[in-house]
Amino acid sequence: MNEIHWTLGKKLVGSFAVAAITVFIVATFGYRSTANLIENNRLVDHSHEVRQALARLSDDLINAETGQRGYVITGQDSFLEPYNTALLDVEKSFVLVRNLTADNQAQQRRLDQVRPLMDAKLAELALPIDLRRAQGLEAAQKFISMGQGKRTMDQLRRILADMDQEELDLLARRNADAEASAGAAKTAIILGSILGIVFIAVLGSFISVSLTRQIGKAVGHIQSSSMELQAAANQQTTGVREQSTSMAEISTTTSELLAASRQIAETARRVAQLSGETSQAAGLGDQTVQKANESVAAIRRQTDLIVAHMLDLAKKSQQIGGILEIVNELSEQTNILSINASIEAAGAGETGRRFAVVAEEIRKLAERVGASTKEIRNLVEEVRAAVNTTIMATEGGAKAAEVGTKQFEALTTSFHSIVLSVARSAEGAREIELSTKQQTLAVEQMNTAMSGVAQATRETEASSAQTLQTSKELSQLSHMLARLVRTEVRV
Amino acid sequence: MNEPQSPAQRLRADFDGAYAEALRSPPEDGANLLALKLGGDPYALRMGDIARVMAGSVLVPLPSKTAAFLGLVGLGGEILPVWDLGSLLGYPRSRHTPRWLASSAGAPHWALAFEAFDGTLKASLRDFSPPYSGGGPAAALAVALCATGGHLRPVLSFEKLLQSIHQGELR
Repeated sequence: MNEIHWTLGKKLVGSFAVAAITVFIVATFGYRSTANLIENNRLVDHSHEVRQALARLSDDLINAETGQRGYVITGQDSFLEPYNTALLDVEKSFVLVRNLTADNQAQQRRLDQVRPLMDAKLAELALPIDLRRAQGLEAAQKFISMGQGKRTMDQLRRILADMDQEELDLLARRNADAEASAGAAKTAIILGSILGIVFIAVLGSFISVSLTRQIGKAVGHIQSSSMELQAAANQQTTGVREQSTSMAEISTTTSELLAASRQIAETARRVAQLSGETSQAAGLGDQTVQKANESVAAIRRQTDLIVAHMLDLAKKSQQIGGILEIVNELSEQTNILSINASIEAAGAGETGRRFAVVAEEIRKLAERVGASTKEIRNLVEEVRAAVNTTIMATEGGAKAAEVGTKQFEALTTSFHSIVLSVARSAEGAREIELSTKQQTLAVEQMNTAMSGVAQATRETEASSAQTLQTSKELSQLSHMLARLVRTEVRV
Repeated sequence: MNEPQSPAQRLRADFDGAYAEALRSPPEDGANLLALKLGGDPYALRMGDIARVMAGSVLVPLPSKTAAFLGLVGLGGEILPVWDLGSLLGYPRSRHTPRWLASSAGAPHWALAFEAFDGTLKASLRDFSPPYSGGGPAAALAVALCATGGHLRPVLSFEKLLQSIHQGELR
């Protein structure tokens, strides 16, 4: 079965709402019963008032008749006092009765019958008084003995008795209604109170169990949280102490940094001055590099010219080599011819001896030519090798000059860049100088701020100690609360 | 005093000196030799055995079971068989055909091919000595040894070389 997870406020509000509804219902029933009872009591009182008014009206008529009879008997005016008083009060009593029974038609109709009878009775009472005063006792007795007054008075008594009986009946009914209302009110109050007590007891038990459980859980959480808070406060205290130590070190370091920043600012000022001088020197160097670049270009042109001449020389050396091959071949063929001539001369015997000498001379000459050709070939080869070496060296020089030119161009570009960079460096150095001054100011401000932070850290350290103390007290409080809640649970 | 001469001055001096020398006849008791080289070793052929010396002639190769036989060559209006002198003397056969040719003066006419021509020599009888035995194929085919020009050259003869060819074919 799923438990309804209501908050403490919801549970309290719900419980009090149920109790309030119960009280409201009971109060409503009680109020209605009490109102009925009050109304019935009022109606009972009203009935009593009507009966008193009827009794007073009857008394007034009787008092009037009593005064009239006393005067008739005695002839003394003092006996007319009840008669005169009744004449004054009887009309008031009649009006009172009519007003009190205005909501009762039957009583009104009876009063309509009473009115002429009452007027006739008052007129019948006044006539014997006049007769007594004017003609004496006998005339008055004679008139009274006729019995007219008695009959009128009897009718009035009967009608007033009916009206009183009517009121008595109403009174009886209203008393019964009042008793019924009082009983209903009592029942409502007793049952409502019992139901309210039962509801409140059940709800109180439910809320008590639920709150005990919830508060127990909450207290458990508070216990664990307070322990964690205590541990955290311990750590915080330790951390804040370390932070305080670190802040002191930082403050010292910041002071050193401030001194270093001032020194850097001074150095930056010198660097800016040196950068300005370097920028001027770099401008002169840039002009020198431009001139050197032009000289390197001239060297490169001369080197190209040398290479062209050397290539031409190599070509001609090659042509000389070709010619020497032909000369060598000629000398070789001449040598062969001389050998063959010697052979032929040897075959010719004595006649060929002198021809053999000439052939030998030709052979020697051919051999010399061959040897000379070899030497020339060697020399030409050496020249060609030298030319090739020179060409290669010159080409290497040309390439080196070209590379040098490019490098010099790069150097020029670099130097130009260097000049620009030096100018920018000078500008940058001035900016650094300015920035370093600002930095020094910032470090001073930071130093001040660090002092404030160090002070705040010390205050935080004190606050952490206070937090630790508070967490300990909270832990003790949670233990006490837990014991309290467990005791209630056992109960 | 004696400053080094340039090659041109030396050539000029040799050339002028050659005309200043007296004409000399070949020695009566000597012989003219054709100096040549095989595998860097000096050899010589007697000029009297040679009919003609040629260089760079066109040689037509022919198939043969003998490695020393190179082919045929047209020389002096004749078609002559050509034998490799180096192979006959036991040198390894070169990949290139020898450039120089020397044809025999006596019958039958044939020719020898060799790598390098080393000039002509004049030797007196004092310069010759008999060949020694047990010196390999060159020593066996030499008819004499000639010590001239700073070298000791085996002197070869067409006749003995031809006998060697025949003996080799017979074997």
